[in-house]
Amino acid sequence: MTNAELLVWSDSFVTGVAEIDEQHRILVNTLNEANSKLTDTSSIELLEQITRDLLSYALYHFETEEDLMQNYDYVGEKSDESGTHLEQHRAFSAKVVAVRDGLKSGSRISRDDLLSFLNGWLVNHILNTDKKLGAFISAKRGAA
Amino acid sequence: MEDIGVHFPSIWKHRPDERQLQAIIATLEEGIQLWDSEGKHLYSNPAIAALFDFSPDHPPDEFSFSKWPCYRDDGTPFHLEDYPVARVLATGLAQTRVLLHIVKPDDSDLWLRMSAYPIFDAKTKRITSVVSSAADITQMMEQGRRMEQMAHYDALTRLPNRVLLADRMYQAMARSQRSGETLAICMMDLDGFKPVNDTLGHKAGDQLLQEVSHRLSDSIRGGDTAARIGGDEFALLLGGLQSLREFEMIVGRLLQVISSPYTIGEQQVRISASIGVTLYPNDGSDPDLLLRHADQAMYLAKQAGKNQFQLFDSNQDQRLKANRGAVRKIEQALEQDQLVLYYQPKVDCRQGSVLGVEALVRWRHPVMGLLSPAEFLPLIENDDLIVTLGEWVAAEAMRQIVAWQKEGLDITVGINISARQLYHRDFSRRLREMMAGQPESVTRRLEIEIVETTALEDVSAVKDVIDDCRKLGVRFALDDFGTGFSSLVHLKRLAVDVLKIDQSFVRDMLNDPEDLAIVEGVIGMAAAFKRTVVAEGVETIDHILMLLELGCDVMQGHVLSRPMPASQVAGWVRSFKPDPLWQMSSSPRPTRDYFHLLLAEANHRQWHEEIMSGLHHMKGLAASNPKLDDRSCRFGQWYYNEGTRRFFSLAEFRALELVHQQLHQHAKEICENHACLSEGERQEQEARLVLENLEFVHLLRQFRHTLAKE
Repeated sequence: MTNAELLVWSDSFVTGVAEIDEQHRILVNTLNEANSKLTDTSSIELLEQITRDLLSYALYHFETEEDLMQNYDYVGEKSDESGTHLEQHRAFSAKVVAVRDGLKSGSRISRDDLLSFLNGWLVNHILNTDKKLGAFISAKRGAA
Repeated sequence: MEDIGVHFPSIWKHRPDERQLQAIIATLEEGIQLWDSEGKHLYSNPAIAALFDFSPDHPPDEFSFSKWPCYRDDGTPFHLEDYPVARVLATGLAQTRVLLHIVKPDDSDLWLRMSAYPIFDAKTKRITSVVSSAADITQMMEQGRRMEQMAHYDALTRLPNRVLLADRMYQAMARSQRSGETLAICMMDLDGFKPVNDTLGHKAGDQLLQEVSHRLSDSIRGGDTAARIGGDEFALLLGGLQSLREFEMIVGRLLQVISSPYTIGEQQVRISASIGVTLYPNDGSDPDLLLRHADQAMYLAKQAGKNQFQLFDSNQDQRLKANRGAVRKIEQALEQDQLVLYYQPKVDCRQGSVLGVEALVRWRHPVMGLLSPAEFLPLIENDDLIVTLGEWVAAEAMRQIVAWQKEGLDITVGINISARQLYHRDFSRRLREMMAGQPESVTRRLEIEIVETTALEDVSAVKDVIDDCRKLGVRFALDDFGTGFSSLVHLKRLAVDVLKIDQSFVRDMLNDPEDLAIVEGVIGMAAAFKRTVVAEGVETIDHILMLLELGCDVMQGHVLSRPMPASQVAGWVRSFKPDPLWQMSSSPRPTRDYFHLLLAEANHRQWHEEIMSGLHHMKGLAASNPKLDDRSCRFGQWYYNEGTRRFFSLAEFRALELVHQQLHQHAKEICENHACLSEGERQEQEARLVLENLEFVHLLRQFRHTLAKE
């Protein structure tokens, strides 16, 4: 992966829910920064820092989204969509934890593997999963 | 009768005659002049001559000082037509209290407060003459200036102080907005200033600060500001930057200038500077926040090794905030009893008995459900909250030991304590306090597992804590053993009772020969140092059998039990029955050959599972996959190399080959034709594969039993 593949924030990422979008920007920044800083010979500390930031992000951001899901009864009204959504959140955390475990036992993830996981997860999750949630919440807010 | 343009109340009973009036005017300190209707000089009193250095013999022709530079108090030039007398002549109106700043030929300043009044002809109402007065207020103005200087400038270095800096910032930010150019706001702190102050004295320190200030003032451009804001801290405003990179050159030069040697008294002194920079309007904060951001960046420059600059990074700042927010959330979770302990049994598989449990913290998150410690502990591992959490865990675990003992369940409870906590000077004291009320029957059931052993830098400090706590009957375990580089040192120096093999090695030991070597190594080390060894992360019966063969009896992992709430532990222990398969492990000690056979068997079982799961997911392995080749699979590698060398003489060994080959042949066929087979055909083929595999496993077991009997 080269720097040319930095994610550029565009309107296509906007879910329409301000608090979610704001947090997504931070994740896109985190990812881009990892992209420009990380090499296969980067220190373990940098990888630990990046994964710690990701865990912190997960804690913060997933809570925001899942809170919104409950408040707007996304879980009740769109059980399939919300099920997939929650699964993706858990899978993200599990992957980050696995990467950290790997660091501990000496099998570090390669730069490309980490970045392609993050890129793939983020783009798919925002463009598909989060946008569905965004549309749902926006509709509810519009109707209120 | 002529009339002066303003009417003074007459307080005089006596009207002075002209001679008396002249005498009064002559003694006034204020200069008084009279001009005709053309603006020509008619009269000056002696004070005027003193003000403008005229000799009474050469009275001024026009406006006294018309050839001297003259300014208003805001510094703009004062033109001749604005002169009060000229204004009176032009407008017919009195001019009062006009401030003039005159620079005399000898470069000294003269500040005048002037007024001028028209004198009208009583009949024609036309101006016949103008009277002007000039008071010398130079002294007052200079005093005011000094006051301002004191309020706005640092007395030692004469650089702007914080107050003026704030003013300059507003101006510089406004300029940047108008011009679209970038403004760099820098905070600079001297590295190594304190030692100079301490060793050479305050006077030398002051001299050094003055010299630094000179160098700063000399190095910045005209419109820029260098301010001293306290101690050895300076702020810089660098405006008019065309690009985001331009500041780097200026700041780089400053670093160089500051770090070249100083001569203070007889001494040569060297210091350097750490500079933090933030760029306006990119960083669109208010002045206070801009300075704080520059300050944060300066701190990072210090941390990164000094004598350098750091640019404030708003992304990083946002993340730091998020991280701090996360710490706060975890803190709240602890306060609101959202954290709970789950317990995972430790089983001695050779004896078939439960030895104890490990307490693992879980977060019952109100929104996200049950979170594992790996998801949130990393966020607080560098925060003091980890210490608070550790104390809570210890107290909770002891409470649980007591509760279980009342139920008749007497087991060891292991708790995880981070390196950071062990270094905390109060740790053993607090632990002692917590244990104070407990009988030894409780405290000796507590086992402290030291996690993050890689962080155990100060081994001797940890040794003291361990020795302290062991006096209380507490047992110690080194968790995650095998990770990090200094495990052996830890083992030699620290009086721990237990080594726990990290689960990542245990989990992969069946696939990865290197992980297997580490597991074997740790078990051997534990035996050599006479420590108990516990394997974590045991996931299959193969792991159990393998570990038993290797000489590790105590285990913990999903295949035995997942971590469970405290309420389920007693019931689980009561109904626990050892798996009869565990007895299959040869006793007392396995031979090396036997061990490798066991490994080959486990590998084959894995191979079979992989094939079957591939088929279930409708893809199968590519026919070219080396795993489908009966000599390239891991069992085949063993069979045709070490196995053949060791066991070729045994009929049971040779019997394996044909069945193994058939198994591979069929697996290959199914994978190749997978797409063309009907559902029924596929099921039939798969069933045949399962049967063949059962036969092969049966033969393997027979061979193993033969070997065990030998």
